[in-house]
Amino acid sequence: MMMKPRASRKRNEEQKFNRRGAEAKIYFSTLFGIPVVIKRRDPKRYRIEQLDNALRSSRNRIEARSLLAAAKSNVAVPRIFHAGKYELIMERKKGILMKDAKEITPSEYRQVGKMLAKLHATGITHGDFTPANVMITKEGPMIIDFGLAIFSKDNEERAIDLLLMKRSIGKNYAHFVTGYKSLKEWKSVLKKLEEVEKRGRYHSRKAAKEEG
Amino acid sequence: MARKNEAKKATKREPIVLGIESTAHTLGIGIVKNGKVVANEKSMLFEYGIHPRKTADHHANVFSEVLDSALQKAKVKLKDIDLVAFSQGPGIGPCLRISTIAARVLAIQYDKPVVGVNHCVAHIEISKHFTGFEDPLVLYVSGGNTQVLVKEKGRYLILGETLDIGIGNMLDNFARSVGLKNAREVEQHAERTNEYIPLPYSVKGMDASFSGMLTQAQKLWNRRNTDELCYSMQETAYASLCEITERALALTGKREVTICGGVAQNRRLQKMLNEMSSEWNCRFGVAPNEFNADNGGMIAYVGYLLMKKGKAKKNALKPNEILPIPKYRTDQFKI
Repeated sequence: MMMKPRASRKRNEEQKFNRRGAEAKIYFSTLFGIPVVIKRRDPKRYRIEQLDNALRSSRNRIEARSLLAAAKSNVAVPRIFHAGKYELIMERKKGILMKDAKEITPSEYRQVGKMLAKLHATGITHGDFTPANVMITKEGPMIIDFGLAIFSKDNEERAIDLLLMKRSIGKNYAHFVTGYKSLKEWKSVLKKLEEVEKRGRYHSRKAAKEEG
Repeated sequence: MARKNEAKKATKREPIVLGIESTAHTLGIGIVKNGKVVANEKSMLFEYGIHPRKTADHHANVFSEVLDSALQKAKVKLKDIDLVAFSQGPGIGPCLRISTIAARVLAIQYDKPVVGVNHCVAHIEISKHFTGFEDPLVLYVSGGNTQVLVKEKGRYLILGETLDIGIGNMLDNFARSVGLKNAREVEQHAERTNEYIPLPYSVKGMDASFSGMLTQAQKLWNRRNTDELCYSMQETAYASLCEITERALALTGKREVTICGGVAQNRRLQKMLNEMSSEWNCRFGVAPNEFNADNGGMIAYVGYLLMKKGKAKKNALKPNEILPIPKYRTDQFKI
């Protein structure tokens, strides 16, 4: 069975946004001369409205709250200018995403680790902590996209933040962890991480060795 | 040089590949002739889950019957077979042993080359065959597996997967605890209503987890209508599947999306993914149901692919190497 996409109307819309994530569309704009990012969570028609609205508004709300809390504890995150029900307006900084950066120094990896430790100490877990969500700016790394963040001090959630980064940065993970060790409970988080890694389906001993 | 000759010979003689599938509840035997599945016979034992020994006994009992009808349908004889492919894993040990023993017997008795095939990769490849997609993003959903994959350097890379239980397993488990038979019945009950009960929704990056919603749904049974629970289970679980697929799509920028595996037969999931893909201007396709359920045709087809790429000889197993790998990871198999 083949199903063709309905394209025409969508394509026109697509030209307007600057970036499109899975979660929301990003528009670059200015507010009183200040460069801003508008992050809008449009409805997703594949899921039922009740679930869709609940997910979109709760994620928007949590994103705003966690950004504010992170900024309060001096983690570099974008400042928020306005929070609507399904959209956020945030400051726009010049920088390059970690996943697009050609070279990242070990000290930058350590800084990212330190920032995550600070975030966790504040009681926030990011939920999607990958190189696509870390921006390298002039003033150092900045964490963006708190769309899946939750307020939690659970080591399990913390371990998943580490896991996502570990999977994406390979060898440089060692530098990253050095920075992360500034968290008081780092030992128990790393222990939990081991446990979470084992949990994936079908890890033969051989494969585990190859990876590790 | 040798490889070239082999390829030439193969195209001339229309290679015939026999595939044996027995990783779980289905014993399937398929025959691929010159790249086309010409026979796909199966026998399934599944009512309230899988009993490993009973299922293995069933597979052993019906084996020759299924093999005969496959050979008859394809109009070939056992001696004409050029290659035997068998499902080496992942799967349930006792069940896997049946295809392994069968392959070993054929290797010794008829002196056929034998290759082991990864069950998950077979699901993906047959889906690509029927949709005609070259490089799709794959959502593989079955009883034990829930994975989002892309092909990279000859392997299927797992971008995201379930953190606890497989989606099919979760639905079957839920079905049993509310007095239904299996996931298929959950789908039928879900179609009767559109009253949604909020259930825990868990997406972590590109991974999803299902045990939370299962526990909650089991707790709510007795207090809520079964149809409504079925509907909410499906909506919540499939929305999280769509979301992890969408995340992978945003990351990889693929232009094609396909689903495979037993749960891929679910029409609601197909519809949701189609909708999601069209929002991203991607093509969406899915193989016929017969090939999304476990089957021998897909195993034979991967054997054929290996042959076409000249890898069959290199991958051929000696009789003493024909052993099951119950925890075979999708990304361990090169194609």
